[in-house]
Amino acid sequence: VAFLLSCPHCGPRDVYEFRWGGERSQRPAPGSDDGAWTRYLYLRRNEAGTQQEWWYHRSGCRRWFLGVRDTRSNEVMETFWPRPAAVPRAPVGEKPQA
Amino acid sequence: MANRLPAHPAHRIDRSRTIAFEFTGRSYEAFEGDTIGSALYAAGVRIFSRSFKYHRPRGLLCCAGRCPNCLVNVDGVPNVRACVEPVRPGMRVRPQHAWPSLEWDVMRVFDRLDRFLPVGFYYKTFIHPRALWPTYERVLRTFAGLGQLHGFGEPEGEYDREHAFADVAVVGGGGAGMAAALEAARAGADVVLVDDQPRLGGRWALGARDGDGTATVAALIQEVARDSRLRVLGEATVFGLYESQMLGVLQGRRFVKLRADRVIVATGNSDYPMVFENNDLPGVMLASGAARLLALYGVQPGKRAVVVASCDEGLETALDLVASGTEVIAVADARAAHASPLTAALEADKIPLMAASTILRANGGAEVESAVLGAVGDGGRPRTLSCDLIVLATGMEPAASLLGHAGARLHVADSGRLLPTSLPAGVLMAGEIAGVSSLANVIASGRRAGIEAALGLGCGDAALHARLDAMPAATSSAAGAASNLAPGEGAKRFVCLCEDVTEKDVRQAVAEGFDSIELVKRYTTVTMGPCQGKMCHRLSIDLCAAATGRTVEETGTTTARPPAQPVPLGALAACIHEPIKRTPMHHLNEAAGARMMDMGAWRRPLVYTTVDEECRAVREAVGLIDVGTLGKLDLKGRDAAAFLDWLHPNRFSDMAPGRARYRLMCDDAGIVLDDGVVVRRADDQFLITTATGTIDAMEQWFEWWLASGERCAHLANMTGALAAVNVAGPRARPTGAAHRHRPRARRLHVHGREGGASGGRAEHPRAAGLRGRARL
Repeated sequence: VAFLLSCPHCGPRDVYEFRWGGERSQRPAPGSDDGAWTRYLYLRRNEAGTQQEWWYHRSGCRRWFLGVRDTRSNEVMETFWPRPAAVPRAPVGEKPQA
Repeated sequence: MANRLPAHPAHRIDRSRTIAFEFTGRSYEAFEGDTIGSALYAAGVRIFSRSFKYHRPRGLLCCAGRCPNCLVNVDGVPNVRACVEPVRPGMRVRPQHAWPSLEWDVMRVFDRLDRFLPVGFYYKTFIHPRALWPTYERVLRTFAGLGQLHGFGEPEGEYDREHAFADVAVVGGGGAGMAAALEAARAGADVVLVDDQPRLGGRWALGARDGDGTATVAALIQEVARDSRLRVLGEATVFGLYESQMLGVLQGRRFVKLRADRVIVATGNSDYPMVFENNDLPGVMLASGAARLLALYGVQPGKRAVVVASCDEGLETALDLVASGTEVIAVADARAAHASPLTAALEADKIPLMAASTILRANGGAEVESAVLGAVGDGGRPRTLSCDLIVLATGMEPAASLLGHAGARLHVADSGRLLPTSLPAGVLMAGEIAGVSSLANVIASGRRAGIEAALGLGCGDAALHARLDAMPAATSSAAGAASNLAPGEGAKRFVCLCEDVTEKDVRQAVAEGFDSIELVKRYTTVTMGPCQGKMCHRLSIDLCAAATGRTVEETGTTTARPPAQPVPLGALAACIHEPIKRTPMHHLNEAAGARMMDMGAWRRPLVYTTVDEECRAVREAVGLIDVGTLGKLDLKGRDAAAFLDWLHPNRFSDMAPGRARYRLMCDDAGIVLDDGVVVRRADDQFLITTATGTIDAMEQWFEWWLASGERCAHLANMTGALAAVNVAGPRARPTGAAHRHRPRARRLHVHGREGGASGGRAEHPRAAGLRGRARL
């Protein structure tokens, strides 16, 4: 791999500056059933096509961001910061149920 | 020296300086500018290597570093291409893959056993009984492979790495490449021109025949040299074209990663051999190879030559050979009888030209002794001509492997050649590789590509657009190619010289059911040797097509992958800089006489006095250890406490400021990632320690959970900024004056306190064994 990736903060850089953070997925809400957790933890779509994925600019601003990439051609269509609404998580202060 | 022609200004050699070197234990002389290959050939050496499987003698074929025939060991470095490696004083060149000598190799016996060694014979022969495989493997290992490594870690000199950038990168310094680079630079682009030769000009530097071609090329070279906006990377080989127009370039001992917005590939054509019986004998040479020996090194390739042609380049080579004093016995031209200025020139030199003829076989033991010529079709009586050189100008294909790396495909053009098509964005091609021929057309094609690249970047103005529109479109004019498979049969009709794959092997593979070109490749290993298919790609396709009754288009091509040219692994691994990390107490450790050790990137004390003494100190009194390498994160913010609770299986929000607690980090699946201690520094601020090796992963883990920005907490990596000391032993608990801050907590290890000891400065020498000097 040698493609360029555009960090929303630093601009286009060699992909070797980044850590790939895996495909973006929806974390189940606390208390979801085992099936939902199994899918989240162990199953990947492994898309042959366009997917949203996490990137971390390890050798730069050290920020996480999201990218849209075609896994067949490594063409990166878009990179952007995650927005609060885009990554739903449990409310602050709430402990996940055992 | 024998075999040398009178001096000529185009020669690369300096006859006033001689260099002595060694080959197979004998001393040889070269001129400065010679390659190992040209010097040895001039001295009469014809056998350069032994082949992979049958140990057949092999000699110079391409003279351009593209074929596997001249791989030698130079000063312990294996698989050096003799035909392109410059001679250095005192270098020791040894043959490989031959014992006891190149001329008399014991393993030559395999050449007589070919009927017992068909394609795939490993898989067929050595599978029963299965239990014996380890034994078979041990024996086979001694026969397999090319070249020998002499252990690991042997110093091979330093490699260097450079990251280079350009608006436009042009690969190939021939007519098209120079024209493209000049146009792009003129339009205002930052241009790098990469060429693998000591001088620009490409194949036109070997002599350009059309009109005042030589003068035109010389003018272009001058223009490139004068243009300050244009950088030339000379004697540099592009071995890969990767995503986002990244070029892998090897320039001597330097690995250059060249990134450009636009890449123009102008690598021209390259020729390849023909399939006939004994087509691998030393003395069989490609026309471009003979031309290089003549034009660059003033070396006469032979005394009595037969030229086999299917295009005008062959007739030109015949004339060049005659001009150099070589006797050309005959020219066999696969084309029908025709008249042209070239045929007239041949007639004037009284060279017999045999139309519709080709070569059927070569004869000879260790070198070519005669050639058998016959009609292209059936019929006619073959003629045997005695000669010491057979020049092949029969097959010519675009050197398109770089474009293949980038995802381009090949299609069969009207000329019968495989031309690149569907180029990816940002990649252009120019010149012969695009199917254009003749110097004027090649230069025009280069200019076009240069302007297109510049305009694509936003350089240039409306006038440049107008100029591009006014330029005539490039026309594909290359002549049609005849079949490169000579009529007849035989056991030693080689397709792949790297791995000794014969025509019979390919036909056998198809007969066994491996009838797609990709399967033929994997089963026979054709195109998979050191030359990466430069000699055999087209031949294997033609043969597969012939054996399956399909067309070349239906047969398809195999996929080209980097590297296009061999690259030493040392070059790829060059200059990976590992930073050295030192703890805040490093200078104190050094002052205390610590012997240091490497732990990852960290420098850390191993021992101060002796292990025994330090162990006793910890058991009987007290010892310190510098744990400054431990990861330290500072987390601050309104939601910091709640965030830590959320992320860990244990709770921190109920701790009072000043208290510390063990932490354990698990991922979503419950896998333990890390552990350490959390110290609450204030209501909204925590100090978190991690293991030394997990700090980067932990910083990323914390940051990932904070990435959405919905929690008000900020992380700072304080690892290098804070010192840390572990104290152990029966006297570890500070008593009396030992510690300035008396702990109020009952248990020391769950207590955290601001500020350094010793007056606020972090001055804790690490310490097991330093009882006398440690000041706490």
